[in-house]
Amino acid sequence: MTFRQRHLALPVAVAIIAGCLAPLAVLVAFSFYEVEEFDLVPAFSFRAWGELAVSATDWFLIGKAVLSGLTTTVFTVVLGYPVALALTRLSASAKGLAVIVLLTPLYTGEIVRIYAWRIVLGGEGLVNTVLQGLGLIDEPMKVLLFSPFTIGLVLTYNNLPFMVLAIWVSAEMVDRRLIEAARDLGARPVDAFFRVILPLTVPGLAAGSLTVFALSAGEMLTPSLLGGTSGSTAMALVDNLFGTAFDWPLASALALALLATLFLVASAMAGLMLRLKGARAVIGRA
Amino acid sequence: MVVESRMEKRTEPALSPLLLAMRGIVKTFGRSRAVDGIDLDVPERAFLTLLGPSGCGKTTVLRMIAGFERPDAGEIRLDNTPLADVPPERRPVNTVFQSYALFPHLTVHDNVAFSLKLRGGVSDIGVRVRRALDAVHMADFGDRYPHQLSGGQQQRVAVARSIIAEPRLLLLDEPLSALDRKMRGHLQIELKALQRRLGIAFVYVTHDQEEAFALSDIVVVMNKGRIAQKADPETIYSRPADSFVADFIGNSTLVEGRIQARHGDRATIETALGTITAPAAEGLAVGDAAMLVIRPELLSMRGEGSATFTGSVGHSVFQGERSMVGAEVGGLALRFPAEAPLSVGTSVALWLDADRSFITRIAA
Amino acid sequence: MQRFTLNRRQMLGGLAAGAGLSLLGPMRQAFAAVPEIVWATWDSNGHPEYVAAFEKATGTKVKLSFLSSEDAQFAALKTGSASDWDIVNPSLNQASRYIKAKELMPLDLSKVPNLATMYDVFKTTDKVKGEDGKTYAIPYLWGLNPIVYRSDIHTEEPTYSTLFDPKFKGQLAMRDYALESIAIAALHLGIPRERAFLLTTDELAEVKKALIAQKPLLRTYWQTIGDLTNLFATGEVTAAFSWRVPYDALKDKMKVAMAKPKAGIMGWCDCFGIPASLPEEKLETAYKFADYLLGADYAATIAEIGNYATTSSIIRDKLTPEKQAAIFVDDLSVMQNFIWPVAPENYSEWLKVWNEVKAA
Repeated sequence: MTFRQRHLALPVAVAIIAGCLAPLAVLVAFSFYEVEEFDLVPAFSFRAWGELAVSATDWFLIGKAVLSGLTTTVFTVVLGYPVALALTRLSASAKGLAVIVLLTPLYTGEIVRIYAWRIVLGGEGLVNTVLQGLGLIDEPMKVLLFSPFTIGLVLTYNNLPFMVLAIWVSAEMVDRRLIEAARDLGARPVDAFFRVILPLTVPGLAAGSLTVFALSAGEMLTPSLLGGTSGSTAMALVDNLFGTAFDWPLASALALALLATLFLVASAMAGLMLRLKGARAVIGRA
Repeated sequence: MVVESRMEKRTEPALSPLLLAMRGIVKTFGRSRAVDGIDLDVPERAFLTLLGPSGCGKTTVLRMIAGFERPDAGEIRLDNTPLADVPPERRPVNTVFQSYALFPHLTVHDNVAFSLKLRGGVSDIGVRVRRALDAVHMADFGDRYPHQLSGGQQQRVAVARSIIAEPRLLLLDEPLSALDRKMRGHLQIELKALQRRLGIAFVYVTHDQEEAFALSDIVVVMNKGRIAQKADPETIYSRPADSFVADFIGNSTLVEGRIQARHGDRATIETALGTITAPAAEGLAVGDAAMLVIRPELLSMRGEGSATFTGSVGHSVFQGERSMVGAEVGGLALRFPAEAPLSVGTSVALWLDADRSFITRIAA
Repeated sequence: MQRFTLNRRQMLGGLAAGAGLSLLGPMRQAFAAVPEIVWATWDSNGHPEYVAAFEKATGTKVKLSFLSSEDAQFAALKTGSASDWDIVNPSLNQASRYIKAKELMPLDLSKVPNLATMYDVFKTTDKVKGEDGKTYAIPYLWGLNPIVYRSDIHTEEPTYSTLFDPKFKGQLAMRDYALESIAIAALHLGIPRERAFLLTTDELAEVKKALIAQKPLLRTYWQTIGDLTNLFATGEVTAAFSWRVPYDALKDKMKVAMAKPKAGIMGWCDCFGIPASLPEEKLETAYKFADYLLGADYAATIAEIGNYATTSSIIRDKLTPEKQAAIFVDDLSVMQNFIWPVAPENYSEWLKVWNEVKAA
């Protein structure tokens, strides 16, 4: 990188520090403050961290965020690869149309989508009505809505576009002749996928996975409005602690613990993906 | 060089058993017929070249043998087994791609070991990779990545990768086209030697007739999805099956005329340049339109009796050990080699070695 | 983060706010010189037609600033980011929080003559008084939080114990709100209503057990009243601790009713207060508007359009019996059955219990 280029990157670096690190520093400071009569008092107290350390609920919810992020990532990867690879085989004009269709979920607001899901999955909803009409079920399947299943389904649906786009961009850059070469050398389609396509699309896979993980692990509205009694999240708890409970120190400590955990898991994910045979060569060269 | 390799090729294996047989193969892309009904046999241990201009269907034939395209009609058999339902990975055939198609994320060693690792249960992968890399003089490059290699080195690795699994048939799709002339010459010699040593049949695609002649036991000239001629290089060169082949493979001048007389394998053709008797393609009968093929080396500025043609020098190109001269004769340009450059406008008398020229069909 | 806090009246809010603001925009430009007063309140308390009479009588423009949540209001006052607010809207239950944080100024009651007709239960509450004995906020609007239920499915009027009845598994909902949900469990367990918000640690443990046992019976915890209305409308829920909104929204479409459990009626009550930082010159208008909120014009329009009762008896006798029933002032014994959800001393314990229940 030349000096000139570095110079250009400076405002971005400043923006990142100001927009990202400064609020973090504030959270760190708050986590050591004390609350007296709805007033935040500067102090150096470990009360919040102590409470957090022994709170099974808090750590359970942090673990749940990690699990939710990981399962959503896995689901979107498994579903995203076939879609992304199919996209690469379309004609240029069909690609444009496909991307617009793919992004449709993102054009509607989250609240609208949530209520639409209720109409689709509800006890008197579309799926149950159709299944009952076909005589496949007698009673509505209550598990479709307000269950962990619902959360998984909707988070996967919401995040699939991000995964598909990221993998697709990467897959477009894989020379089709490499896949033919692999087949020629004895690779079944599944071997060609794991030995050639997967390593060569690791940049997209990594970008998509880290995006989806962050978005789904931090998701709060979908679980709370579609997850029923299993919809509690660490994010909602942080929100509750900042707002209703006015326990900013504990809220800050919990938010930081959540952030650190998610960061560690994301780092581990990135590390694992780099260990895919050959992936490092692809990333290193890119 | 062309002459030398023609000499070598006399060792063509006689009556080798049939390895690959293609019958009635048709392949259409959209509205264009890439391959329009061809029959092709590849004997064991043969070096067969598909030669033709771009778009003639030669690469499509190769891709159908490899299994990347399915014929719309016809049958391909390898060792007498139909290949129709055999996917590429199960065909005992490997390909050297035009762009090499090396896996950019794998080292040279891992590229070459690719097929053996897929097979599983191969215990001597290291030894065999070493041997394959030795065969292409790349033994010291196992730890490199493809992007760290020159074009010629990548080509060698691609060859090593495709022979390590000991295929019955190796397909090469213009493997040398991206290389400079000197490197191409080196690698032609190496490829030919390698093919001899391995005893594997090669099917080689190129648009370069010199390369085809230098390497092949059998040359198949293709035109518009059909086979124009299939023969050994010398036959292709001296007895082109039609005017397309004659035009494609050399610097020959083609002179159109009509058959006046036919006696055995010879015929007399009347052309604008005069009446000439020469060996003629089978089936040409009196009254047929035909083409006299005059190769440059058959024209000489010395000879006995009266000159065949007289004309004046239209251009003269110095090529080192000799010059290539174009003489204007009766409105046609006849090319011939001269020992020294000639100045434009000089009158020349030319003698044709008619016994070594050829009268052939006019291509459809 | 505040964007996600959808604590109250969120669904109704969207439409009303949109309509209100689009009306206000052009008017503000046209009458820029007209004196104005900014009222921070819920969208349901502050329709433009509710304040039209005040504007006409005084020539003062009332600018409505709709709240997204009580927490947001408190935070805005606390951080000074709402310096244009002239009248704010603390709830009765959380008034002490504002008073302790010194966000409100002590009120001169002589400047609010309409206090005279206020119901006693509101007049005598000490929740709006500071430790100095002064009054910092005045209740002006109240209502009940009933159990809304489907009368075609529940043949008997539900009680709080209905919400814990396995017979209705998968059709029940509770609000995702520690204060009310824990108190309801306590009432279900037979703890008297005077102590429903003063639970001991042992009682809290019992309540927690009951709430965890209740979880499989619930379809979901509702987040906003729009959310709950949707749950009733789509048949997911047949009985829930609620606000009256789903009843009003659905009573013409399906058989819904409101139950006022004998164990104790959860009430809500909004107060007005004046920010401690309000400049002297705006004080007089603020008091005038405060008095308007306890007067007849506001009471009549909000009873008519919004089905809410103010804390003043000023128009009660002029209403039809049906309207009296609709706004719960037909039988004034309700005033004795109120329980006010009020954050207890050990509120953080309650929140902890509630979060543990939800994560269980």
